[in-house]
Amino acid sequence: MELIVGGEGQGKLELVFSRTEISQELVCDGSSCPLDRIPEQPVMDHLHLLIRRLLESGQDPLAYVRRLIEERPDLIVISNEVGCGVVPVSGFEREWREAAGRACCLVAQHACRVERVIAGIPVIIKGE
Amino acid sequence: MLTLVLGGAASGKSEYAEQVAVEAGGQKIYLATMQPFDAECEARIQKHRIARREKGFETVEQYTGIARLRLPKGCTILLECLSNLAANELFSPSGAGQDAGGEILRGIDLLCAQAREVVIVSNEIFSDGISYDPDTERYLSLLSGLNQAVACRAGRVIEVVCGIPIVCKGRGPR
Repeated sequence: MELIVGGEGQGKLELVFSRTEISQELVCDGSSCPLDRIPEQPVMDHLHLLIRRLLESGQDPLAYVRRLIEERPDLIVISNEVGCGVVPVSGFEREWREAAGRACCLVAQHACRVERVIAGIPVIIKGE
Repeated sequence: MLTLVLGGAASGKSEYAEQVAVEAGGQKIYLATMQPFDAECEARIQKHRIARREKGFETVEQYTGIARLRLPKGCTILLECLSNLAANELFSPSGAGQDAGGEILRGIDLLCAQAREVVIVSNEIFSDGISYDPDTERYLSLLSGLNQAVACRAGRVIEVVCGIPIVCKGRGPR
């Protein structure tokens, strides 16, 4: 498993395209993919939005992430970092930030490589 | 040695800071600054309590005025966290109000004079690009200034991202 994190619009997915044969059709988009099954594509983009949709639909997002880790050990996971702002007033927003952060910690734990992308530049923070 | 551990929400910073404190050894004191305002705070406190139960920390609760604390010489202190302490000093009736920054730094200097190891956890909350109401802006300004002042005093500054420590100043503990 690999994890790529960073702010919005930093070139995380483009980084994957630039160094693999993977194209857009092979990307599972967490903002719109089905929630009732584990995706088969090699890349999961927008994990933070998938977590949000799982919470909205009353599912346990961390249970889903544990299944991803178990069933898709070769997956490349991409997520925005969403925990670096002021604590939101809304309880749901707080719950989402918490779950998205924990999901990334969990994926990072099982990832052989974790990269943080800023302005298109990847910085390796785990692995080689 | 003073260590500052920074990170966003649910970044794994608390677990990492606890590990740093445990590895530092000595008598371990957990300086808790979160006031249990409601059930959510209570649940959060309980979660942290369970996580450190087995790690041998003695808990001291102090929501404001950490300069008043008298601690055993040479102990290891884990202050969790600077962001709550700053909010308490700035906004609570027992806090220092506009002198919050000075009061907190005086307290931290006194902690450092008493303890052998001080580990301070703080939050990275400055990257959402949103402009807030004056009170929140005042708080952001206080906490960002404190993070810088503590980082300046610290021998070690570590940002935790997805549970992974990134050394920003000094050398990591391992």
